Amino acid sequence: MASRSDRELVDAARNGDADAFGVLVRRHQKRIFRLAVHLLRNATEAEDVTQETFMRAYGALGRFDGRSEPFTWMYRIAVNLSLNTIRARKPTRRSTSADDPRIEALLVEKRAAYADPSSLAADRELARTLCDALDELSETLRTTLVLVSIDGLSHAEASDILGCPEGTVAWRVHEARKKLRAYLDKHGYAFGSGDQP
Amino acid sequence: MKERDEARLPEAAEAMLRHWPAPKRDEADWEASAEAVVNRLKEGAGGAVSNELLAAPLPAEPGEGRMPRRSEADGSLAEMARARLRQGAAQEDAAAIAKASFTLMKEENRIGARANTVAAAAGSSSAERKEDGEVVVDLEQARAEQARQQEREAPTRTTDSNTGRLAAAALVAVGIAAGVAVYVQSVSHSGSAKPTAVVLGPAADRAPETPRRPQSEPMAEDQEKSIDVGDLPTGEIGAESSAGRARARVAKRAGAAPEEKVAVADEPAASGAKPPAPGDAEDEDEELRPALDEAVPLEPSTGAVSSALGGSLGAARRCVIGHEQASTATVVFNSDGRVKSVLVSGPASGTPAEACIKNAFQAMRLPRFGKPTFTIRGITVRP
Repeated sequence: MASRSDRELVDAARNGDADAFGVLVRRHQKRIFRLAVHLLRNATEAEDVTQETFMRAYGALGRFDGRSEPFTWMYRIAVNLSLNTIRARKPTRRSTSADDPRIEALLVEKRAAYADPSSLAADRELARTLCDALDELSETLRTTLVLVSIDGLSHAEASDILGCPEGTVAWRVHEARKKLRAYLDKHGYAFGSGDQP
Repeated sequence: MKERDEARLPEAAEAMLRHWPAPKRDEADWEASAEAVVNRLKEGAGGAVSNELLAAPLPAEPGEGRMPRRSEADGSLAEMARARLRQGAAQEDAAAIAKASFTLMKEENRIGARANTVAAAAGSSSAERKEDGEVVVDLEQARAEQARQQEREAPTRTTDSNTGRLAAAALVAVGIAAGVAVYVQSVSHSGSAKPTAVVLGPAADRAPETPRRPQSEPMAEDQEKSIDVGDLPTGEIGAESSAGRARARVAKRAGAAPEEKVAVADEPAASGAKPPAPGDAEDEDEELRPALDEAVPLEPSTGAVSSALGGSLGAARRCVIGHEQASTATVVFNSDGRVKSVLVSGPASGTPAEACIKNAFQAMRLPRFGKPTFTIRGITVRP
């Protein structure tokens, strides 16, 4: 079962094989969860969106035309659900909270490797500033950057998800990075300074 | 270059972006989530899906309207560049070539006045003919006509042998200038709509006898290096080959003498080079190079590296689906931007996933750079 391709699993699921769809869920839920965390900045909401993505995808299997990969199609649903969740919120804080799940995720893996608390604190500060910079981006730039630079999708995959040309994806990533750079510069993270403010 | 640096982040920030993990959850939690989804589906609780949920998300960002549509540039940035060359740049190229040619004419001012006269004469002579919209000047025939005219005018000329040799050399130069003049006129009048070309006859191999440029402007050695005739298009210069025009323009900017530009049409036999096959991606990439050579950085920018990684990392990650831990790859690039080698370590090493990852990263391309090689280490390929 594990060696079946996504398309084979989708075909099986279309014929009512929920277990086949379960394989797809297990295969992609971590990445969709991470995407949702970056878009929503809230782990609980991200869990809900992840589950909801698969539920909605299953319900819409009949409308999957096969022109894109199943996972990019599910990503699109996840992005739409995440954006809907964000738009349904009341206006939120401007500054990243200390328990931002993105920062925790970034530091928890490296925590054991830190020789001294000061380097951990420095990385935490950089992560916080980077998250703030990401949050300053428009939804369009942030989502595109998350898909390409953080999630590692190709421009072609991102263009499938976002429904825009690859050139537009490249432009958005470049613009987003320019804005991140400007934000980091403004907060003292310039080149040649050891990446420290 | 400045534009690229604007998008470059401090290394620590780059590393965070590249290796940002998902929040930690126990495998049991993941399994429970998946199980919950499957159970709900089995109970018939598939969610209702509006069309909006399946539509392309996100509005366009201000400023992105000028990006080409997918139909124009389906694929990589190289494809976009090619599309640009094919469509819009043809007119710009024609204008640039015309401009460069006029500059050349100024440099050759000493013979320019006579060139116009001879060009007018050549226009009515049998040495010029039109073939399917192309103006073809046979310099061999033009020279023969000039010689015949000389013979007719011989009684009125001095018999001094030195003067005669100088006159012959001047005539050769005038012939070349006439060719260029006809070419410039035809390009400027026809624009890009009608292919126009100058084709040298066999006598072009005597062109080096003509003074290439004033002695006070010796061609710099590095400029000569940038003009590799073997790399130039092997067909006739025409509107059909906009890449060829770009090359001619580069050659011109680099200070190539008129003979070098015109010699493009004669070069294939000497160099043995073959015209690029249509649709051959590798050759087309080669075609784009001269235009890009004008500013080759010592090493690729972080933005270029990030963009190249973005194009391949997704494919590499699909190679390790089902793995528990991440693998690491090191990719070495040649100065032409192509991948030289890929080294995979970690759980994928020695498994079929290794070849899969190598294949994924082999497709990476960087812009050309100055150093012999460039290495990206520690690329984490997460499942």
